[in-house]
Amino acid sequence: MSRVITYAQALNEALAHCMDQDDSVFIMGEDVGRYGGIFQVTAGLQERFGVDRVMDTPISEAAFVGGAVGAAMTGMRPVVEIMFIDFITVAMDMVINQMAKMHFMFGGRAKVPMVIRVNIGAGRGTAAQHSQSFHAIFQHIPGIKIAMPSTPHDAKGMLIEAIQDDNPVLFVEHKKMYIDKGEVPEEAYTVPIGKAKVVRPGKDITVVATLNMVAKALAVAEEMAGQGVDMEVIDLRALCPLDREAVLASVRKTGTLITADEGCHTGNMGAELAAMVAEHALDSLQAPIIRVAGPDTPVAFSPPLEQAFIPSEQDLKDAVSRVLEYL
Amino acid sequence: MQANSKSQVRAMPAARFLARQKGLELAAVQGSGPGGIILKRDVAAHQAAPMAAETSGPARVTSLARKLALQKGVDLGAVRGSGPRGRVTKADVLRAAAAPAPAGGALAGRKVAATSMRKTIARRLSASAFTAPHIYFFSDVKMDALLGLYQDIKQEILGRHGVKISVNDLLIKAVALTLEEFPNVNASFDGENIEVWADINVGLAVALEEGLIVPAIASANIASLWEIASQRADLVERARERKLQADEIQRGTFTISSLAQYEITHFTAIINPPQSAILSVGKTQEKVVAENGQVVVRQVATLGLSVDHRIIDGAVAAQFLTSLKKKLERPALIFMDLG
Amino acid sequence: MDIPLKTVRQLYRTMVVIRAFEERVQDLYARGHIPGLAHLYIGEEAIAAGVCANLGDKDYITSTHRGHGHVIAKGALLKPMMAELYGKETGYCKGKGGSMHIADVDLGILGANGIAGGGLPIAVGAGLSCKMKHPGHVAVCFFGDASSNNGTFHESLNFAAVHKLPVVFVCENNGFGISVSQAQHQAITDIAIRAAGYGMPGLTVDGNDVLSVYLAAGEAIERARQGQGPTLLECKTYRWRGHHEGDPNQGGRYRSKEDIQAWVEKCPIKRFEQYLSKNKVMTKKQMQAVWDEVELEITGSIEFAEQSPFPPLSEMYQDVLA
Repeated sequence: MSRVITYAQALNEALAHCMDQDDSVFIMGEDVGRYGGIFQVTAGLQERFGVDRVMDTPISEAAFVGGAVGAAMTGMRPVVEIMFIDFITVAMDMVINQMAKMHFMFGGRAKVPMVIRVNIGAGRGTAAQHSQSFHAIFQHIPGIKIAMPSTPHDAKGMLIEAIQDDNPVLFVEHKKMYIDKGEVPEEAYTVPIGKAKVVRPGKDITVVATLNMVAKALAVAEEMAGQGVDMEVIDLRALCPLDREAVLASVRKTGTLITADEGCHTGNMGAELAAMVAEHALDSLQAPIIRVAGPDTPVAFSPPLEQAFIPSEQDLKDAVSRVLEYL
Repeated sequence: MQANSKSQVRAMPAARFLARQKGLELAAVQGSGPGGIILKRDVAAHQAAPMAAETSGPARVTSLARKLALQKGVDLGAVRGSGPRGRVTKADVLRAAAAPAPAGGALAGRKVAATSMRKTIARRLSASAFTAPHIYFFSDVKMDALLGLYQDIKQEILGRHGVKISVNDLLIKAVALTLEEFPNVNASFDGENIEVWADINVGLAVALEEGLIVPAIASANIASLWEIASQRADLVERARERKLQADEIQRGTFTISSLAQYEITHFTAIINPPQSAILSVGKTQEKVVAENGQVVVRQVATLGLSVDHRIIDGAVAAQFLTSLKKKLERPALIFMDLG
Repeated sequence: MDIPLKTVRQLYRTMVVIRAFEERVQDLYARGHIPGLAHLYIGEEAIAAGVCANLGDKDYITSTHRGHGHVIAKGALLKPMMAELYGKETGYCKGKGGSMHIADVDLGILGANGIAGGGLPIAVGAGLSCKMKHPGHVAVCFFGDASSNNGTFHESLNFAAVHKLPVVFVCENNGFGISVSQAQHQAITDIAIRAAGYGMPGLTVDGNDVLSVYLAAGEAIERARQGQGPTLLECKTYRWRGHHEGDPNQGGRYRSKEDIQAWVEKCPIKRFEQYLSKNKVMTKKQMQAVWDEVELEITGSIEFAEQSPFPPLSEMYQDVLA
């Protein structure tokens, strides 16, 4: 049965379900216990599952991310929360050299079934060290699945999937979306990591978006439909495994590609998609590929500057008009 | 800028792919994208109707707008473009579709999809009609002397050069020499700059079943009459065989459209973009005219000149037509370089 | 001292296997049979042997780039080990890990590790597993003196202490971080004193005395098994070879021959042999028999490695994701 709950509540339900089903699942992170996590994703879980399974850690990202690696290798399914993706840099060796490589480096002898939850995004006045969206960095590292659910429904289903996955999963949330509401079934279900979703079929222009950019792309698509432009909006949902076929099929159909992701322009998720299209579907391209992205700057604190950083519907519309010049 | 050198042909990848697939030379395709880049649809249009290759600058209708216009039955020629550089966008088409339809309305008949060539013609001529403000000038020309000259020299030229000349060739020559006198009539205007062409290449409209095509006689001001005739015969023949090269169409700097074989006295023609003027030629017929107080019968043709008023003033157009008339009525002047 | 004779003989044999294995690797590397990097454990054998003699298969270790000794002491088989050093398909990691990444989770070996300090948080995680799911089992973390300056040392010891995790941190203080001596990289002599900062016991022992190591580690491991939390155990030792095979003059750029010789005199195996003789635990002949048997086994492992095929290229694309 579906009812409307928030994105944060959907994640909370996924965590509770998995912990209920499997006693090897546990949560670690800063202020995830009594406090419930700074975005309230783990609210109430410590009361329900105890201090050992919902563990407040010291401010020691390397220790608890690495700890999750060790626990995962030895039979547990840890879910760690990094308060802001910005802080994962402290644990980068554990993420890149340890977590991502163990399975390969040990010839398949070790599995690392763990989830790192992070949140990205500007818009809450948290300035340059709490607002970044550098998730694309991890796309460059083989061995990490990267989930990016854009709705409460997918948040619940993909988190359950992530926890049950035998691979390390970087679970990327957007801090502005925790209060987004949507229909979420009460029962447990999974949503695959690595399957993009065509959220609005169309034949003129392809937009591939992530997280908060999906809703913006849909709004622009509706507006453009009124002007006779039929946009296809794809929710990428994961950077790894990357659903190349879904993107290529759409680009082959429309001859166009606009990507929309809040990460800084240079090297963001759209760069990989653009390169992939150039390699595999160049002959289909009727218009330039355009990346709607954050600018190549740190996120400024001052509210007007911060707002200007966030890719907007207007940015998407500008991209659409530019593409239309070629159609 | 060597926009025509092969390595510098600018085309979108999908356009390149289609051209390669169809074995088309991209250099022969006129681009209609931003900055003149060749789009996929340009190649598609070129491939469907190579005869009607683009001879002007950017096509002014987006493909979405075109599709929608077809669906909604909107006459694109009547739509004013609001997009970049006057391009007709979907929004323009929708506005046009929303405008009240003429009352009554005809009974539904057979709807036939226009050919690519027809669509290209439609797009180009409507662009011309709605971009260049046309003004029209008419003048009756007594053709007796010209016809006399024609009768006089045709055997001679056939004998010497093996070429059959026509009255049209004489007309082409006269027009070319008049263009030399009025360089601004042998020019193009892109909204910013006036380009006066060094060459005088006179296009001759040829009616084919699928539409009009305008091959141009190169350097008609320099070419001798038999050379004009020879070029003209070859171009018309190859036009009918659909074997013209794109350049033979694109090089035109002025057009002559003649309906002399029909019962038409005069008509107004739409300028063939990016040119700035076109001459319309009606049927030559006997007319009673007063001459030096005498009523006489003369072979008379009505010539019309349509010009782009943005760059050609009425007086200039009038002088051009007057000068042409003078040459045609006293053809000896043509060949004696007497103006 | 109340150590079963069987254990004493086992300690000896483990040290001999490590020494003999490393000497053969040294030779194979010099002759170009083994690719890549090899960091040899010669001179430090007493630590791995002494610590791991206290562990069972269900206890965990994390190791370092200088890990051959640890994994041998924890029970790794020589054939797949040697094959892994050769990069062969039959190696522990199908040839994809090499010398620095030998692992066998079933034996509790969570991997040698190419990153200095990289194993500490992982041992903490294994300790978490033990605490939550396998009470009575422990995780032992080997690391060097130079890694004790890494942030992970601080984070891991603090985390393990505050959560009373069953982890024993074994610092092998061999006096050098590659070429930088301990005096140049930290202002303390005994790393064990750092334990006080985390609220755990810290102890320094002679790392070349296998029985001291065995007893001290045994005590720390027992505390961990009892749920009394972690210990920092510092074992002072010395590496005879250079940082890696290929380090010029066995580290001659940053230490003197005399220094090396002084530590060679303190060879943990020689010392233990004297002890075994003196206390009549083993005769010289029995000890020689151990060496002969071990050499035979190692020769067998080399033959196995050399006869094994390289992995097919397709193996490269396996195990990226589970």
